[in-house]
Amino acid sequence: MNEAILTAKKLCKSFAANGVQNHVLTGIDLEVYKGDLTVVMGASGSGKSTLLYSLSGMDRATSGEVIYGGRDLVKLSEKELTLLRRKDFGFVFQKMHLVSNMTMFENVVVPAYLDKNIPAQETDKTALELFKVMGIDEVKTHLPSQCSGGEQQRCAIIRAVISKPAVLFADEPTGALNRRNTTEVLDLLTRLNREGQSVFMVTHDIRAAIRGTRIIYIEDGNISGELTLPPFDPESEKSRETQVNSWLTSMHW
Amino acid sequence: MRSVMFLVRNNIKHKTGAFKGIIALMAIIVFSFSGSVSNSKNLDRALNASLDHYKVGDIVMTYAEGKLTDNIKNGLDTNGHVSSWRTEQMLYVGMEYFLNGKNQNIDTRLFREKDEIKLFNDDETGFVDKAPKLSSGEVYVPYSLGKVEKLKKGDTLEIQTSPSTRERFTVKGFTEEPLYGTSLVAYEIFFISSEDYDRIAAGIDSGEVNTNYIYKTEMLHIFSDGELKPFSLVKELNDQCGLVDESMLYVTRNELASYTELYADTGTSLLYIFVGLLAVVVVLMMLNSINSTIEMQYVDLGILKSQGFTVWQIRAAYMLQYIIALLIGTVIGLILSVPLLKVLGSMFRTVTGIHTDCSIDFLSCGLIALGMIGVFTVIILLTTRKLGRLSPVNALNNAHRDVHFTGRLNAPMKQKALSLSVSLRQLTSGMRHYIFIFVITVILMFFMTTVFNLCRGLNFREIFGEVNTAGFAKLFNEFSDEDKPRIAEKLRELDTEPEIYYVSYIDNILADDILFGVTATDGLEKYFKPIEGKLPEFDNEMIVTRIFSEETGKGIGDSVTVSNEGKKAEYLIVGIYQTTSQAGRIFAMSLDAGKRIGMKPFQANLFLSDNSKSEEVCKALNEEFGGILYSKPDDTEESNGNLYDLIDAFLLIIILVVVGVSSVFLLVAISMICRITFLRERTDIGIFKATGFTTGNLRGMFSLRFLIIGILGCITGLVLSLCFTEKLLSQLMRITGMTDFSAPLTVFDILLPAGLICGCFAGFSYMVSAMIKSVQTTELICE
Repeated sequence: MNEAILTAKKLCKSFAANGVQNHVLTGIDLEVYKGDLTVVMGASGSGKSTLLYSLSGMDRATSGEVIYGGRDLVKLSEKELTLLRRKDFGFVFQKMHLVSNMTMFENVVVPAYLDKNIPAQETDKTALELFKVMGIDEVKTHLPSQCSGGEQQRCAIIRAVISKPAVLFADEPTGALNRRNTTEVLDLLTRLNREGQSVFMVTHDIRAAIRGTRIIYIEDGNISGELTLPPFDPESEKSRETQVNSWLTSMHW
Repeated sequence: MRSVMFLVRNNIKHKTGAFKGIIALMAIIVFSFSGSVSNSKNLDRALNASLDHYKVGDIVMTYAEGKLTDNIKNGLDTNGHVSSWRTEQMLYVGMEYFLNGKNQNIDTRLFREKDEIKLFNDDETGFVDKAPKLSSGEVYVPYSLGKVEKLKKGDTLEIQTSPSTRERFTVKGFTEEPLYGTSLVAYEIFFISSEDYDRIAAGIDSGEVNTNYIYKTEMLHIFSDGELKPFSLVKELNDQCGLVDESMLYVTRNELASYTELYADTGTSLLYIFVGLLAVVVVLMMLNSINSTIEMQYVDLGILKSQGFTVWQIRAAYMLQYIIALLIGTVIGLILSVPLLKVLGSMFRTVTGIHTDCSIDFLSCGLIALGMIGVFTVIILLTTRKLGRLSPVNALNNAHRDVHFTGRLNAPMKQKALSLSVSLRQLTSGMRHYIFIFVITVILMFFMTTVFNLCRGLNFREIFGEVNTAGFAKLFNEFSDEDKPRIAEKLRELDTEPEIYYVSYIDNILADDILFGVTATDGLEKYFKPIEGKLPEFDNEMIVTRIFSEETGKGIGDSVTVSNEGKKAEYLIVGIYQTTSQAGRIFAMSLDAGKRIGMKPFQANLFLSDNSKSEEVCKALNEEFGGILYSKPDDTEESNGNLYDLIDAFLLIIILVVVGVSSVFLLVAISMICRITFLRERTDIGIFKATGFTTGNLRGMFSLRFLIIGILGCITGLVLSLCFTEKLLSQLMRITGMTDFSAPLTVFDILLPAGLICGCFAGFSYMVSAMIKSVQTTELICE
């Protein structure tokens, strides 16, 4: 039995532009399960990223509920949502979004320092270990501009997971990367997931999608299909890609 | 051109390049100078009109009765540089007078009423068409005196005409009096009825009026043809007919004007410095704004270039945008200064006694503003040169390096002081951008410290040369050197440690053929503190002011020839001192030295160990030596109290204006810088928010960063103040005769401006950082 870590009920999100309401999400019901690598796919403008940010409390839904730990994120204050982002959720963005005037290491530890319950030495130690594990130990004192896109994205992932979040949200994490870096980052996310990290990833990259254990297809602001897959195995990459491709075709992708 | 105008309109519409901020800064600058400059110009215009109205000559001499000889008159008639001259009779009151019973220590002249009198109307908005004829016992008093002493019609003026008699007058109105009407000149002119004038004059002739108290004099107005400077003409006339040698007092029209305009000129000079510093700040702000805009719009500019816009078109758009902002700021500043001008006009009327119209001098202010705009335009042109190097390919490929990263110091990140660590990092990594605001802080701190120091350091009792005496004694002509031991003996009977110093001075005396004033006293050490060299010890020594030294080209160790009433003597300069007496055009020597050129003491100053005895001592001296002197207690403090209050109020207004303008300026500057910083760091703020920093954290870090700059700027500004304030103020105060302004910085001078600046930095940046609330983490989304 899958345990839902995050539940969306009748989730709606609209934006007003020039006096016209643009309904991006139109009543989504969704459960995100613990330990899953949930992938959201869909055409451009279908509402994938909006769904990610509404679920993570980065953005507030127009109506509906997002239940996490028994609390409705839609009703939380700005400060409560900030604390949630600090402790419970981690984020990886398409453009990495590392602070340019901090070293790679500082980009990771500074947000973690906000949690006063964890001593700085412990944070530093964990970060160093993660840098080693992720294979970017030698660039930890470099500035982001001195590193490759893959290194930057791995650093962003370390920043996202250092506080051991319940869910790691990744918005097009390979969107700005070349093929080699894409593989490195996806391997990393897969490994984290295998180690128990729940991941919620938005992508339109088929290579990223096949890493998921559950793929959700979103169309016109609502879920139009879902595909469940076994955990990723490199051996079966080709057949998995074919399966996902075929499913996406059936979804008119 | 149409496409350039479109760019300008678009930039303004989308708030590119701190358009509103530049308008605000320019408005503050124009507001700061237009009120002061217009007031100064209005005063100058009104004063000269008044001097013309009263037919005041280019040179004004005063002679005791009979001293304006036919020889002098012939000299005036035959000198080719004298276009005309006229004389006017007056009564010189050498003793004291009383306003509503209150003693006044100011020399007074009584004039016969005349048609030219400019009498203020009741609501003080102008003048009556024609001053009503005065009846016997009525007097018109100068407007400024009336204001300082809070006089009203019907109050009484009494003039001491002998030890036991006073002439009593009723105040009938207040006049604009351009000669000595300002509160800063120690003379007053009263107009009395012809009947009273003739009666007192007849009393002098018949011996009924004591001429030690009041005597007849004649004022000579000389109108020059303008070819020679007044000083040169006076020298020529003195050589020709002894014009100065026989006179009591000599003053030029320009000097009269400069005394009246002293405050306005000093204030305007101060404002010019302030405006100059503010202009530097505006230049820095524009540089920062243009640089940031170019960096932030790098891609857009690349697109424009790729679409056929020339570099000149893009630069023209920038230039026009800022010129429009500067022009709008100029207009707003001029409009805002109208109420300020009314306040200034009223304040200055009280001090100068001159009625000015409160109109803006559009020509002067406009020219200054246009000059500034011209300089700014050149700077914009130079700053936008870099657009020529902009490559569309690089710009479109986003090959420009991170805009908000210009350097970095390895300040460590600490969990314990995380906000401070991050703030320091943001500061050190964007040093080039914060350098502007640092310089602004330094400038403001320096200026505010200087103004505070000036206002606190202006000790008017010292400036006006006041020494806290117990009493004065006016010496009559019958006084001789033999009387001194007798008086000293009498004083010793009345007080345990009495001191008495004898003084003589001449307002006009030739030293190396240049006119100066001279003071001779046996109390040099009591009255003069040399700032260089020493006090004179022998009768061939003198001390001079720096202004004297500069005008004669002589310094310590040089000899100067002084001539008075046909006597000539050579003196050695042994020291330099400063005084505001005669605006610094003066020198001093011992009484013995003064004797060599015929100077006799005519005043004695008393010092007692117990000042409460002063009345008793003065009374005893008058009783015993009544025939040779008239003594009275020193009540300068009481008589000048209102004037000092007025000056204190004036200084307070200067401080308030400077503090007020500086605060508004800081607010605008900080708002602009914060906005630019905010736009530059918008993504970083989003990242911080996304990774768990609260808005409160970020706002705190934002304002902490500016507070750090504020503190560093204040420290640097303070160092600058310690190095340059005295020099700057000495230059500024030269006009008054003070060449070496000295007032050590106090805790007040430092802490108040520093507190104000740091408070503004922390407060304003926190206020402006409310923008952080508007940053949504969703802005990091790339669909």
